[in-house]
Amino acid sequence: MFALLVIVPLLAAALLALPLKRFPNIVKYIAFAASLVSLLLAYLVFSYGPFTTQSFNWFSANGISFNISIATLPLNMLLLMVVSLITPLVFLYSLGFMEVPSEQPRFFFEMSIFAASMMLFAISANFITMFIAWEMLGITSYLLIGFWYHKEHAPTAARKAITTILIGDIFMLAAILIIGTTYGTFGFSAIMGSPSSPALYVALSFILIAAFTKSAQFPFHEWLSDAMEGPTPVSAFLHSSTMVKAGVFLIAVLFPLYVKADMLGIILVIGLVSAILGATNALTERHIKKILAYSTIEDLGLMFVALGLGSVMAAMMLFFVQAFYKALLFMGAGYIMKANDEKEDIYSTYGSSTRKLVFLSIVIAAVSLAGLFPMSGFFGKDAVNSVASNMVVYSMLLLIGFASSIYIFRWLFIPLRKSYESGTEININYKSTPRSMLIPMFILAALVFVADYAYLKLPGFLNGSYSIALLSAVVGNVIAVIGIIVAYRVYMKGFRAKLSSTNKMLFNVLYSSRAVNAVYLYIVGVTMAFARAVSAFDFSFDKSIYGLARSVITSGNGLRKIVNGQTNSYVFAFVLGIMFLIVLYVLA
Amino acid sequence: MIPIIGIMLLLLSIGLAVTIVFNEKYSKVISTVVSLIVMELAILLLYVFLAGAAGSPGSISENYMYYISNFGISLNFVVNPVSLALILMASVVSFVTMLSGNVENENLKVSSILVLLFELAAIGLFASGNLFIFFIFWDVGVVALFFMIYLLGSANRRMAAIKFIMYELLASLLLLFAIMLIYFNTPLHSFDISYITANYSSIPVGTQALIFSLFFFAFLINMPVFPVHLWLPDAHTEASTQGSMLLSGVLTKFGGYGMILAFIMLPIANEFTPVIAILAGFSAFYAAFVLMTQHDIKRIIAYTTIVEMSIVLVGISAFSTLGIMGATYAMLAHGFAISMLFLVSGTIGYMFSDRDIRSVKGVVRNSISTAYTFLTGVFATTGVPLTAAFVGDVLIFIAAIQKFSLYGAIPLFSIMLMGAFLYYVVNKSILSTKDASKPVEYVGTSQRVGFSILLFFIFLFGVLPFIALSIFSNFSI
Amino acid sequence: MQQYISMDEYALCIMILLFIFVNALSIFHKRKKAQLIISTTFLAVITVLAIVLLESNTYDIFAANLLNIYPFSMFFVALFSVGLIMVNIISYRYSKDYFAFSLLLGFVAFGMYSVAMAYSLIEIVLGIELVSLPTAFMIMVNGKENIEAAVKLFILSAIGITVLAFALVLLFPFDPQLSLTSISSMTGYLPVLALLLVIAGLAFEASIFPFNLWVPDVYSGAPANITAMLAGINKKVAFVALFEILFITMIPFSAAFSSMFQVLAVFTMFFGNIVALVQDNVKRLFAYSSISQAGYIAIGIAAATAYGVESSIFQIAAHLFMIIGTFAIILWLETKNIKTVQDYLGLSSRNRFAAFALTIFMLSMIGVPPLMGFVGKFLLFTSAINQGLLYLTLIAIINSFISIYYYARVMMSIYSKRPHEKVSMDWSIATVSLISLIVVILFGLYPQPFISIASTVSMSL
Repeated sequence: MFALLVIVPLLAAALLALPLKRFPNIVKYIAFAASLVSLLLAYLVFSYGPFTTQSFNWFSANGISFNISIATLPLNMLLLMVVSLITPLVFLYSLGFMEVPSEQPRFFFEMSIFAASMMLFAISANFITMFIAWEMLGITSYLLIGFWYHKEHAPTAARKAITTILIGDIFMLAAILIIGTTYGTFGFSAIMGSPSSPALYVALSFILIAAFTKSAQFPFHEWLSDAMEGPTPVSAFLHSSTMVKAGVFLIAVLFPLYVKADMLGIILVIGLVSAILGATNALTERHIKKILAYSTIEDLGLMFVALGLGSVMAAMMLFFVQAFYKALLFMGAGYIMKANDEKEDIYSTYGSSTRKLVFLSIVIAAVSLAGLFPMSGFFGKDAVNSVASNMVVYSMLLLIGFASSIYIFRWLFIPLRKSYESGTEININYKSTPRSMLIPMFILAALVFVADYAYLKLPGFLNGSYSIALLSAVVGNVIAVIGIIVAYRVYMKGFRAKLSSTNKMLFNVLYSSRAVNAVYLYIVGVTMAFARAVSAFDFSFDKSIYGLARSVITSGNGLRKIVNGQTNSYVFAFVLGIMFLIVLYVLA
Repeated sequence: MIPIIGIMLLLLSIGLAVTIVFNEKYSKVISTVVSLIVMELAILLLYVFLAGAAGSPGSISENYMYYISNFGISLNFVVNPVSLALILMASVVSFVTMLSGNVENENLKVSSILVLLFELAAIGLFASGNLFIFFIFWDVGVVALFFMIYLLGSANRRMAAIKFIMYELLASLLLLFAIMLIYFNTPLHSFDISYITANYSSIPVGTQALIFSLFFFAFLINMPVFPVHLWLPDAHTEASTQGSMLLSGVLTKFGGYGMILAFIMLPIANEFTPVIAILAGFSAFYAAFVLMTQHDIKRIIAYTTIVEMSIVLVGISAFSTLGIMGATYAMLAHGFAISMLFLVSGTIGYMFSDRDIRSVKGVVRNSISTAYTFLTGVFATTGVPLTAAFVGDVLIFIAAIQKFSLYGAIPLFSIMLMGAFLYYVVNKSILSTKDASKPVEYVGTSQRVGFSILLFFIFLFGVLPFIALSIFSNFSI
Repeated sequence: MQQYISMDEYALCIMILLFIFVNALSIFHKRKKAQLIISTTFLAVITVLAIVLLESNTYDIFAANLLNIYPFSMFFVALFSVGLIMVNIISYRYSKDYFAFSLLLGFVAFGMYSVAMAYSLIEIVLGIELVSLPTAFMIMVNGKENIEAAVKLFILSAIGITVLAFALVLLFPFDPQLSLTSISSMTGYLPVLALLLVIAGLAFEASIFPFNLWVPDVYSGAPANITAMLAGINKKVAFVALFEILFITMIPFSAAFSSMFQVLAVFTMFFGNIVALVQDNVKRLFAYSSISQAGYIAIGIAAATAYGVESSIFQIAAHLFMIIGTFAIILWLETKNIKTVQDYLGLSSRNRFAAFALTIFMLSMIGVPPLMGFVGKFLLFTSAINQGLLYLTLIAIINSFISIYYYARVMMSIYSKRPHEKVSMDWSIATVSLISLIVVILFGLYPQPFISIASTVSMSL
């Protein structure tokens, strides 16, 4: 039955690939209906499905079997739940968001493929299955980022994403093949029990690189902010709540191996660095979606921190709750952008609180991101904070928490502080936002609350333990509130203007995006320079062979001079020839 | 038992004769029908092979008249799993080439004749059971492609054609020398591949090494792998679309198939495998780097051929059942993928009268099918799962890791470089916004049909690999 | 032992004599067409008779120990007759004085037959003389522009024949009959010297380096129909003589002449191929090409086995057809003033058949299967390898590789896209090139019958 989870969206995609130009409207509803069916299926799996693994042979070669194997172990169920809940909401949102009829079939086709591969990824139980899903995620992400290829930066952004992800893919494939060769099996559970070996270290570090590329961790994190060139539903779906978490999820699945290989330290460090970079960039970025993208990098970094600290439980807590508020924030961003004629700079967009319920939903999401009780975000962040045994790490986490409550309210306040006349175009835009865009936001806002439930259920579900330490919770909340107040004072009340002259240097320190991009460009430049050198060699190699050939040909010019047209010299050659024969005979 | 190979070759010869005799008007129809039937026969051959493989060791052989009886050379065809896969690929690729490769619809008669002649050579070569026949078909194929480049190529075809024929005939002469040496060094003086395989040990070790290195260099030129790859980019750039499709799709497989034969016939190869693997790995990276500085779409794809064939050589050099299987599978996959990419780039060249990635922009705005087929071709080249190349790559690198431990995985990273640049091409020219360049022509139905046939096979062998792998069920070296 | 002399042998003998006679008559009756038909018929009948005798495997010494009838001689009688038929046909139109040509053709033919059927060494020398000197006159009667070539050929042939005659003198003490039998004594320097002189004298005719410097001048200076004969038949006559003398009389020296021919073959191949790379005149290019082909044929002698001879015989036949076909087309194009590689640009648009035929001939000369030239080369290379002459094979392969360039150059210029108006080919050229084409392709696709014949022939030697 799990197979249906994957098959339903795939079927939808297949239907969408058919030329349905005659029924432009039907297209999007097919996709939406399929996502609802998936949700139903996921619910059935959840309610009745036992924790099992199924596998069947895909192909086998010379005794090595390549199986498709799927499982509904707790971790799988967790991701499955997130995916199946978010998918219909995003599809619903897209019904309103994607207005251009000609784009709809392609959009829903790619989204359905993505949904299918995400489902497959969620329930994959061996490396082969996982890799198929993994690559499909990368490719659909690439296609969706570059969806609006007519935009100036979209193709570049898509290329950046696929290049980074390709690096990860190849490392992943290498790791899988190394593991498969070493252990003769690709199954997760079989490898967990196997003894460690030197090859395993290599493979695990390759997988880590792959996970870092997919989950946008330092030093591979810059693609995610560029990925915001894609349509907003894509950002809400792929680049915040599902696909980018594949890396974290994979490391969580393989967690025992990392413990065995003693590689948690590196995960912790990278996670922390990424979280800091994400937070600082989010503080200084002006692009309405990129702020959220950096925030996603920060959240993913925090998940890695939790893993690095040895707690799958904490990582999964954040993993679960983050999906809802981040998807909601992105939908909010899309809502604001749509009203502002696709303007992206928070300083030139106008916020609105006219639609109270929508506004409230966005505030709920922001508060949740800031980590305030009783929003679900609190439980996620607190889970990470509470496993920080090290004081340095803990203080850094608090600092990041402080920063995140500042930047998210900066994101909220700056568009909001500007007033506009009612009856202007923006007002009309806000008023005329399609209902299908708003309903999922309400649902998500409700889910942000309901996700608190995870606190009660998740520990038992994952066989872990997690409890709230009162002190840490209070400290976290206080810091978040202070952050909100600071943000209110600075951004809402306009203190920022006074700060602006002094914070230039601070800005440069915090906004690392440009520097990272410069490093990327430098690496590309070096590679290209090397490539040009190789190419020059290739060219000269070709030329030198050509020269050699030429010299053989021109040697004919020298040799032809023997034939000079003079009969007497021919006779002379004849005589020489006889002498030559004599010499030959003597030698022989 | 139906002599399928014989029928295929006979049919192709008849088709060739008919095409030569008939008017230009009918030549495309006749040759397309002939190659379609040949393709169906190839599928039938697969079926017969699979039906037979259940009980027997899984090879089909057909014997015809003696060609030169003094040398015991008969028209002797043997179908083994490797050759079966390649015959299938060659017949499909030739059919699509025939059907849709001639984008401009010019020179129909000449192109039909040459494609049929090449198909004849390719199928004969892959099916040949003795080295002499192998050699003959090899040269016929090379000459057919020489004329295809020269007669139907673009402006600078002269240089490209002469380079092509010099390199390829050098390979063929080395091959000739090697098979003559083999002949005189086997106890019963034989060209028969299975006989040589069984009796290699009676050849003195030094001679074995000599023969192997002759074979190796001949096939290295054809595959092509650094340092003898220089003919390929030029040949591709200048050849017509059909020429490029057959060149990369099928001709380079001559070398790959020959290399597999050489390894199987002369197990002394085992002593050279580390060197060969290093060379192949180096070549993959080398080609990937050179690829990154190219601007002509066809030239870029030409260099991907070098990368892919180097990886095939990595698989062969692993010299295990798995490695050979992987190499075969990769060649099968590569044949479909690369000929599709060349068909697409030919179509793009036709649409824009230009193939420079710096000036071609926004293919997707003009032809969605062309653009997304190109993209799928890129996936199929970089070995994305569910395309056939993935299976090949996986098998090759598992074999390589088994043989060379972790170092075996290194050449995999050349795909990373290649893929990164291919995506760059996609985003620069295919999925990008249109500005200056306007299409001159529009893509025809036959091209779309060609795309879909090749896509079908790419995904068929990617999603259901067991179809092709089951022919290897009794295969081991 | 009673000898049974068949009718065929008489007929052959009579036909040959009659042929000379009627050809001599041609200058009197001056009927061009009739003469063509007569000589073609006679040659055809001779061919048929020779083939009948070849097939019946007759071994006989005939006509007062003058004519030696055995498969070897019959094969070459037939082959040369076919060659002469082709030369005769192309000369019909393009010879300035066809009657003089016919007259001389009779002598040349007689010379060829006497070399092929030689029973004594004297016949060989006379035969060679009868072949070369009338050829020089054939060139001369074509006009002033050809006189230089004719004189060169005349002088140098005279020297060659003198050297050959001197070699016979040296052999006289060993066998006063000068019959074609194995030399009895190997002592002293006289037989050795004789061997060297025989090689030198015949290498001159067979265009083997360094005795071949005249070849390019004469080949390109002579009208192409005579060049076709020079390259296609005359050269082969010298090879036949070489076979006879080396493999019958001088067989005790086989090791010595084998090693000599190895070196000569290498030099000849390199000389022909490398100089051909820079030729622009197509006729001259093919002159060098035929030199290199002589080098390949010499490999068979270097192998010094029956198998080697068989290979050489096969290649001789292959080259005869290829080169006569080629020169026929060159002859025709020369009259259209198309001479250099540049002039050949776009030939395919002028005449498809000519382009196709030339291409096939050139591919065959490169040694591309499945054409006759390939089979010949293959046999030659295997014969060398069989004798352990790996390096010789390797050098031959390198040479084949070099030769690709200049053949490809001509092929490419033939098929370059230059629209020209169509030119139709007249029947004589078309017939000859078609015959050659069919032979080259047919015996390339299915060489077995020809190889069997070559094998019988070489065994009979």
